[in-house]
Amino acid sequence: MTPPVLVIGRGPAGMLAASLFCLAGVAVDLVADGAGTLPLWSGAWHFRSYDGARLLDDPWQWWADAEGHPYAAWSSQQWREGWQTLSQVWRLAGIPTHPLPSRNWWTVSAAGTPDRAFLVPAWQYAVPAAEPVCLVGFEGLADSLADVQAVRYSRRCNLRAEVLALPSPPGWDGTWSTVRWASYLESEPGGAWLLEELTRRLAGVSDELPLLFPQVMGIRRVADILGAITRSTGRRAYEVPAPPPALGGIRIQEQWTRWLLRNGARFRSGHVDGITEDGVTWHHTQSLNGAAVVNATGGVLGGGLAIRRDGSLWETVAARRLGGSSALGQDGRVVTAGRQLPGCDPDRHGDGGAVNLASAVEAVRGTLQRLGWQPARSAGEGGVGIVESH
Amino acid sequence: MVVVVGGGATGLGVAWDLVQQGVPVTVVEQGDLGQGTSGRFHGLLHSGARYAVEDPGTARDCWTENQILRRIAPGAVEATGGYFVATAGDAEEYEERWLLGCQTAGIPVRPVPVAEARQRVPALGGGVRRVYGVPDGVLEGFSLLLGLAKGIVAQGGAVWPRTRLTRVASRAGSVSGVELDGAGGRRTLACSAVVNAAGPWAGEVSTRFEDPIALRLASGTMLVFAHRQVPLVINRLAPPGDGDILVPHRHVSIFGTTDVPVAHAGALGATVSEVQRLMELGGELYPGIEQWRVLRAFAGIRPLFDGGISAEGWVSREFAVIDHGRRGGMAGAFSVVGGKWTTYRKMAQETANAVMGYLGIRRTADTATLRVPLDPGPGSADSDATPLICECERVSAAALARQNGSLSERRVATWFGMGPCQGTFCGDRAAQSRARVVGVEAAEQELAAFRAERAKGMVAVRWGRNAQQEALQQAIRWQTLGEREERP
Repeated sequence: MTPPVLVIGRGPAGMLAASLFCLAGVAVDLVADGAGTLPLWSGAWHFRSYDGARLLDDPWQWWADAEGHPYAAWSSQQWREGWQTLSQVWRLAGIPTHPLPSRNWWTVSAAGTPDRAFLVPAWQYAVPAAEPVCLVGFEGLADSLADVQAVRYSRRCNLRAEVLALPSPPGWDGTWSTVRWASYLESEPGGAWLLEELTRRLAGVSDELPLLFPQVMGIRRVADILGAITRSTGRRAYEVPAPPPALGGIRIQEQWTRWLLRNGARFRSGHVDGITEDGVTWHHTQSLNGAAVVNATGGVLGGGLAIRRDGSLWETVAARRLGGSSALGQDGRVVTAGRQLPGCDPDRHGDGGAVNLASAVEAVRGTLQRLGWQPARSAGEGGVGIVESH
Repeated sequence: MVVVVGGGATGLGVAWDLVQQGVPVTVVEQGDLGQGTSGRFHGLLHSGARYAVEDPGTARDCWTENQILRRIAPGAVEATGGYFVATAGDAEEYEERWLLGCQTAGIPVRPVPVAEARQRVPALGGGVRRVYGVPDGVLEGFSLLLGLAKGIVAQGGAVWPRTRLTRVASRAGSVSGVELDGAGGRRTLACSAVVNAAGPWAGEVSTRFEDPIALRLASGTMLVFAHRQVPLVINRLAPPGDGDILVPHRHVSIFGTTDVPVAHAGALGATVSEVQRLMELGGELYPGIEQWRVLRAFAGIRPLFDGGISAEGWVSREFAVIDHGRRGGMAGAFSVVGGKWTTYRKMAQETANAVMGYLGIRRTADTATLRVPLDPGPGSADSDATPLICECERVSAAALARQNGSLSERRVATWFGMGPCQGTFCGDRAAQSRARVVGVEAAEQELAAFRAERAKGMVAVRWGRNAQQEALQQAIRWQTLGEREERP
């Protein structure tokens, strides 16, 4: 029996690479020693959001003109197929998104500042053009600061931002975490309390404004809760990101994991500490057989790259020193994917989503090619493709 | 009126002493309280044993003051005790001199069986030859500083942070007033004496007295590790040198220090080479140190008085109170330089004595027996009905709101932002609630200053899990929290 492909890492790149292997009919094991970064992230993918100090409107054009970026050579066609693949994977996994846009969506950050993003979960506020908004805050939630967000939003966008403050619900105390808030709001009494408070206080808010809530609107039932608000108030209702633990990422993690399991992927927990001819070693001495290895451990952030005390940069799994730019290429059986590849600075550039996407697609395609495997379902021009099941 | 320049331990100590004698005082501090050397030490309350051989006077002073501080500020002292540890490589001859020195200074020393020490401190390596117990402790410096400041204000004195001394005015060669520049704008203040307790900036301040003093400045780098790696203070039983002190400070451990001459007081910041040296020295006593998680590095400047200039006005060998009037400078101008955190009270008392001698005032109160009014202190249970801002240190919104000043000052007072996440989450939250008071832009500036201060400590320790943590923090701050400068 052919051993599975081993994907190391459980963040967005690892989950995406594993999904692509599943869709290609290849057995895959996801190996990780931690939960991955999904719970730190609200769920929006950035294509290219910043150009120097400015928010960027047209990421397609930026990539068409790009030079010196590891993925500068990707064509518009490749990007389009990549994004479609990702959004289809999410649709199959039951993670709803706004449609893929032709320009970056306008979104609002946790700080209340305007932001741009590309593939955005449906629960998160995303519109084609910035507009006046109403920010809703919960008094007892430390991360819910609608009044401050509103000041920032209106200053930066030069648009009206109204504030609706909701009191703390009955039974609340100072120790309520984000997750506690979310589970209250999706309980029956929580939902009733929310609608009642909204109805009572909405009179002071201008009619047409969308209601933007902090990201605590339920864990599994976010669509129901936001839908109920719209039905009862007649207004659009969305979330904006809040500090971690990020419910957006937690929701995505749950859905995505469930879908991968249904499609035969295996989740294995343990620390990978070496690469061998036949796979990897983990738990110090045991070996795990794999036909190929995809290292999606997220660079320095995820622990895939380590900076030693003498300043040298090492790939932790392969235990090899990096000269500077080799991690992107293939070395024997290991292919690297993730947002923090050499030559990338996703925090400054707002392209972490694009780097995750492109590196995962390339890692999977490269692995399939090297193994001489044809994707069992379909492969389009861009490599890994998916036939939609209508 | 006496104006004290410098809001560190010495300056606040002098003001606290003077205000007890009924002397009106105003303390001016260019930055935040304890921003200089007083806020940048290892937290060791010396028993004096460290100086038993090289500096018997300081050893005696430390032991006396150690006992006094336990009485007057019990809430700021953790009586952990300390070990002096000799390894196989450390000279036995030194050990004998050290024991004799401790005996002479009256410092109680107890031999500890090596097996007992190793059981209590598993972090110690195999090469331990001899261990002695001493009454070292841990000093919560910021609590004590804030308590002194509170006490000064309660007794009618004034404490003005972010205020600089720009000029000292004199009449017929005697101090008559000062000019200040600060948060409230420029102002003048009539006074009859000025005390320069500006630590590493004392040389600069003394130029305003027409009698500059020379200081030798040395930078000492310290490393902060996560967790209490040891339950009590560990010293190396060898001539005082680099990397020979490890102090368990609340739930972190501080390891130091180094000694590198620097040109000016603004040269704060730990360097990579000093950090590397500390790690190597640490490895000699603690073989597992490479696996400890470094949280940050910081450096403090030791101001040492260069006694070669003039011996006149010296009160003690370990620190100096300089009466500038007696050296041909302005009468009524005093400087106090040198010394140790542990002996700040004695330095303050002797400085106050010199000032009172000049003013013709008799001492009526003894700070050795006066309790310092300390706040309950950081981490004390707060059962407010407000959400937690800082989960690491369990600081509530109400606890933060009760403090005064900028985010950095609140950090010092409540310890928010000092835990494992180093303010990643709570810095943002605190800034948001601060925005409600001072406005969004001012709060963003405070957040930037807070971030810069936290980031400075990361630069020299960017390896291993700390580098990983930093990358993670940056991603959270920039991606998730939207902390960006960008405009649409």
